[in-house]
Amino acid sequence: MTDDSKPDISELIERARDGDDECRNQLFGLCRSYLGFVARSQVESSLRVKVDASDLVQQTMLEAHRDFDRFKGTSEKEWLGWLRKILSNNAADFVRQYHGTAKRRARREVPFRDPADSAMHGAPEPAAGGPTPSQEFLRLEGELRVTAALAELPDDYQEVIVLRNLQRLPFSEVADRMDRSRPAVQMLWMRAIKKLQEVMINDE
Amino acid sequence: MDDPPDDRQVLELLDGYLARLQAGETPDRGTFLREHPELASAFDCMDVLESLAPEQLGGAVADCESLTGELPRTFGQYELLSEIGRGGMGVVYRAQQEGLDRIVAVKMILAGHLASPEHVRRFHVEARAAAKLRHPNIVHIHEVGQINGQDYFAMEYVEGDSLAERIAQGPLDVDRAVRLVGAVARAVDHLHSQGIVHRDLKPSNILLDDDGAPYVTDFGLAKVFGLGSEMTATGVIAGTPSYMAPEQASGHGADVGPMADVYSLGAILYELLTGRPPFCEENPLETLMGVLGREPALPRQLNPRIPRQLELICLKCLAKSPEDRYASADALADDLEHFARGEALELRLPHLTQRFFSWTRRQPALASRLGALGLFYVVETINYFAAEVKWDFHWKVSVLMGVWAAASIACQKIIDSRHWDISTRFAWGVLDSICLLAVLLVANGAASPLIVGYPLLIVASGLWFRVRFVWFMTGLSLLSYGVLVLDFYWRQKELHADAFAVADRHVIFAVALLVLGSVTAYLVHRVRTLSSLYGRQAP
Repeated sequence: MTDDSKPDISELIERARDGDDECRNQLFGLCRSYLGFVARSQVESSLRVKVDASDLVQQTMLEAHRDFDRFKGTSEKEWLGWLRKILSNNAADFVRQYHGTAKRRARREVPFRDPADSAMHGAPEPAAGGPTPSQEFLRLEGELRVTAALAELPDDYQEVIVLRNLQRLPFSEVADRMDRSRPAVQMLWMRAIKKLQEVMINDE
Repeated sequence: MDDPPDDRQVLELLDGYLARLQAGETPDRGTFLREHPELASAFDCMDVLESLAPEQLGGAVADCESLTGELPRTFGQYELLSEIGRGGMGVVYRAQQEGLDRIVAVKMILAGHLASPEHVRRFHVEARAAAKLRHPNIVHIHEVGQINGQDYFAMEYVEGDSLAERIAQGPLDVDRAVRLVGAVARAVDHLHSQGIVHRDLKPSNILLDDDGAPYVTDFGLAKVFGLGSEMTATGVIAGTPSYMAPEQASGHGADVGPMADVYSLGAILYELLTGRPPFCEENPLETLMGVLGREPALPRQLNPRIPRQLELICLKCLAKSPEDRYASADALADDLEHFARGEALELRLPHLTQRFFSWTRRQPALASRLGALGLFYVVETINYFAAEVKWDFHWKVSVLMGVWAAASIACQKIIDSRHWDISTRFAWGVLDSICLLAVLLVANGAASPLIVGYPLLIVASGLWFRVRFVWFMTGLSLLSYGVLVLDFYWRQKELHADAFAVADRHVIFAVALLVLGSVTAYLVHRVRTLSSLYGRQAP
């Protein structure tokens, strides 16, 4: 699919394990949008209030950095699986925490804003430190490629794909969440998928 | 928006493909690509996106799930034969226990529900406590354990449906319902005597064997899993708190004791007798509000064949305050037995004031209308006797008030019958504004202080939590007020020589009504947003 001379994730993992900090930063940076979208797919509406998807990502990145030595896998698949597992555990913790303290916090923290509001769109990602990885010099596959492309789309395209594809909501509900009509949301979704396809092809 | 036919077709293809994916199938690319081969990479993207979406169930169970196609397979000393159900907590398999040659049910706990070691420990402690119980109407837990990191417990396999499935098939006769709930209450009392509170009693947690004998299951574990087994894999409360005691639904976890189970027993009895749980509204927040603050409709209103004594037993279980319920599940079982044998019960009708207050909580819409009408009528009558108003006015108002009250009672009756629930509420709104208009026309028209009735109608319309209804009432009020203003200027012109001097007050009043309507609608919108945060109701 792409030039084989470019490094891939397993090479990055190997180099990071050997103590190459730049590779390690690059490795983590690359997975940020992946984790961001997985988090957004898992954080359901009731939790969006308390747990901003980016909190979940930050927590997960911190733990992954901390426990990097414990990761023994080599492939992209294993690496993403590991990250995803940490994320799921954190998500479950957040859920429990949220329900445990809901009574106390609800008054203060339930925002009266539209669910489709800014919190989900351009939430500033926590700084990871280190240089931003240059994707074009890296050979990415499957999930990382798609999430990287997805991150390049305009906010409303991202939103509609997250709701329809990742959260598996029916269009009627997507329309409610985005406060648009159902046909408008369907058209938006079609354009978003086409655009995603386009970005993927251009990246290749 | 431009919507060329080609776009439509592409949308249909993409949507059809995704629907297949999300149904867990592997769509046949060929049929989708025939017309639009360029979509291939879009389908690739969607495949990847689908793999990013959370598993419908937590990780470990999802692994089992992917193997369900290859059943039977072994799990420790069990051979899994078939999947028999899945709930919030996990997946249940029918399994054969090696060596013992017996069929058991093995429940695998969802990965996401036991996230920390502390959770796992508590689960094992609770499940072991439950495993010590032996009672003919309690599903016996054989074993609790962990295999390859998968927590599970093995329990007695009950061949048959759950009570929820039985209810769905149609109503039970009164005798059968009484015996069933009596037996369940005895079993629950046994749980209590062992220091276990079920916390999640509901029809789907009561299994029925082929002879119709009930078996209570899933007890005590609700505590470990937080709010109850209604949590989905992502932690959203998906169900309704229909069977939950008020003290439990309000989140005062510490106060949840055996009395909460007595409430749930009452709710189950209520559903068996009437065909629906005591509170079952279209959105979970309304159900919650009902559980917390309203009285359920009287069972006999829903099913006149229910004996009066049984209704009292049921309502006693459903008392808001735990102290007003039966002192134990055993006491409830005793009363049900007394009832079944036709013996006299100790239960007495609550006294008149109690009944009055419980009526106001049961039919707040009617109670508040009658209250307001009554108060107004008293004031008006005093005025009449103080010779402030004339007989002509007094009798007209009396008739109107009587009509208004009678029509309100009729509306409430129709709503209670649950046939034209929604349209009746709108009709009631129309009725209110027409009656108010009529009273105002008889009175001093737009100059009467009774025009405060309009803001009242608008604000009260918000209590039904429907934005559309608020706008509807606002519109009606404006319309009705418009009629008054016309009446004021044309019909009674001679009475108000300086009418034009006060034209601005009508504009101000109309704008105020509009603003009030907007504010109320916005408040309702906020509450509904909160409600959707509280949880989406299971379909």
